Amino acid sequence: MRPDPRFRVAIGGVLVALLAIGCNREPESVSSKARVVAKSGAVWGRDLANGLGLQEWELCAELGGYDCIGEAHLVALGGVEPAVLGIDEPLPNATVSAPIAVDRVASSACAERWDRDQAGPAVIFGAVLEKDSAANREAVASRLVERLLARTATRDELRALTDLHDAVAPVSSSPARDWGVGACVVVATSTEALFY
Amino acid sequence: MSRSPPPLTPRPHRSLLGFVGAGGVASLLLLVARPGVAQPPGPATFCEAYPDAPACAAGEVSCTTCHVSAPSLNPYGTDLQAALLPGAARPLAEADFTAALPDALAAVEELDSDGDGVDNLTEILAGSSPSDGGSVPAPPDCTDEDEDGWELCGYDLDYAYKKVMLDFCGRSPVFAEREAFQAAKDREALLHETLDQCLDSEFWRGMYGRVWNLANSKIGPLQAVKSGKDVGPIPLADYDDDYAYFVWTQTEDRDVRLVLTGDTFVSASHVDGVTVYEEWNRTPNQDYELRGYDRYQAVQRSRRAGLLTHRWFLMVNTMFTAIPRTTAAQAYRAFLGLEISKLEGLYPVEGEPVDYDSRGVQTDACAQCHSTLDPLAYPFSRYEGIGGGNGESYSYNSRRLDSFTDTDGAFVAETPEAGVLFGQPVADLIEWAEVAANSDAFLRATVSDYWEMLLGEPPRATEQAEFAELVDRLGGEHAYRVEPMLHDLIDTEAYGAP
Repeated sequence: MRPDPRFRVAIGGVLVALLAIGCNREPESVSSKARVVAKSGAVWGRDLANGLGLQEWELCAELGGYDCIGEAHLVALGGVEPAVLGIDEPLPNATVSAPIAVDRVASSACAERWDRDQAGPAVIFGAVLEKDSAANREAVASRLVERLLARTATRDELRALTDLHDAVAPVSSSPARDWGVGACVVVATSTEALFY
Repeated sequence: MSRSPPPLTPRPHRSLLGFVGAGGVASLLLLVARPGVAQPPGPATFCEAYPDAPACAAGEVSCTTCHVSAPSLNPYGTDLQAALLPGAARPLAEADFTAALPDALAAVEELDSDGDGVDNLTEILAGSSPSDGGSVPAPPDCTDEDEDGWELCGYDLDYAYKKVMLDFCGRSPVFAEREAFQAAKDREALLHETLDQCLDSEFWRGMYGRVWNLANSKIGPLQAVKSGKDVGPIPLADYDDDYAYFVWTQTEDRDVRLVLTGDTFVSASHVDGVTVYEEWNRTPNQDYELRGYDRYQAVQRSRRAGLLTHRWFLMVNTMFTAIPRTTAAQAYRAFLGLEISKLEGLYPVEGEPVDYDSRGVQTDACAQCHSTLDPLAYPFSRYEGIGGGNGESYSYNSRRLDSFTDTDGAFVAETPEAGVLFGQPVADLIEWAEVAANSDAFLRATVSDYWEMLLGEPPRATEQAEFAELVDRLGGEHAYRVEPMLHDLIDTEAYGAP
């Protein structure tokens, strides 16, 4: 399965910013349409839930009770609220809080998946939970891309995701968990996951 | 203020040309902005000069060709105006404008009005905007330098499949589904099977689903005055009836014109997690008995015109007004895609506006729009709004305006029920709705709704031909059914090229 060429450097790009590491960029192609639209929060959340093996309502709740996508961050994530707020259509531009909302949903959902995998049976992080090794991290990275982006990861993407461990390990008391959740958030909030 | 009997004589052939004599900038605007049935010379002349321009594929150019927003001219419009009989006294006579426009167009071809380094003629022929510095012709050759299997320079079935899943089913295909699609022998057939399945999804057709939300700006819901489910503090009408009816007209094999011409109602309910739409046809009395005072639909069947005569539409738009211009303008905007406040869809009627309700609409600044809007609104004037004139709220009442003479003057009672739409006389709202539903504007507005929903923007200049074909086929072989049109839409390069 091929990565969408319009988002080719998406994961790499995120990690470059995150880790100040580079990746080998392939020759640039130029789309004739270059038409990219954002997934609504509901659609992105459904993809996230499907990818992580969670129910949509399990992804994230603010203050323990307000569904992040359907309530708390509904408008920020591209939803509408015509009857009370008069927002008939998604806002034409992302709000300042939109990236924060995306991060909060992804962080919550990925942490929830880690905790459930730890309790078993594991859906995504099983290999690293069994043994935190480079090979197992690559297996988890591959699984994240396959489940969240519905395609096979490229070598560059796998390297970028596994290299994240080098940055996390020195500053984390739980490097396996922090790497796993962090890698999950990177994939879940990549351009390819948020847009189509 | 002059008073005259209602002539209601449309002047479709003069129409916007009448404004040529009213002022230079306004005349250029109107000549270029005019959409619809008649053939004003501005757009026609432009497209006669540039028949191969992508913007002319649909047979007309938009107001933004020359304007930022009416009446302000954009850089191209400014150059064009300057080249139009320079030195001649303004306003220009109609014949002078028509005769001079081709030369003026030619005179500005070599200019670069927007300063983007590309001359106007090149931009017009390439489909980019001669007035937008950020719009330049696309590279002649799409660049697809790697062999990754994606068809970047044309329709890509894998991309279209993922997009159909996201747009219509509300989720991405999972890994196994994408593999199965790529391995399918007939991927085109599978793509359309997928669309059929997704058109039945709750995400698409369900309560609060995508089609439901397409009606938001048409219905304008306001929970504070909602009756029925989720009742508000001042229950006046239930817009759930409107949403349900709208979705019903857009789905399955139904004729989308029913949104304006239907004489029944539709309810929506959840049964085992699936939204069920049920058509019903109770009399006002029967509905009153069943659903009560704050919900019943009060218009008798013979006077119904789809959503235009739903209780909510009359309540929220007509409210307390004698001549419901707001209601007519909303109908024009929501279902025909024409925004009168932007000078779109103007078809001035001789002798209008008469100003039956003493609103001062005969002043020059007002008459420009009200000569179209007022005769557009007369057919709505027999339908009661909030409180009713001298009849039941939200019902049809042929003598409704008699009760407004105290507030609007005695002349208001002489307001005709007959009106004019697109230059065509109509006897009442039933005829208004028929003319509207069978218009090119309705087809274009319907396709535009879905195009913009799925592609996030209006058709680009280079996509006008695909858009025009969708419009033609919706009103032709698809017999006004939306779902076959959507099958066409996903086959366009605009939709399927990554």
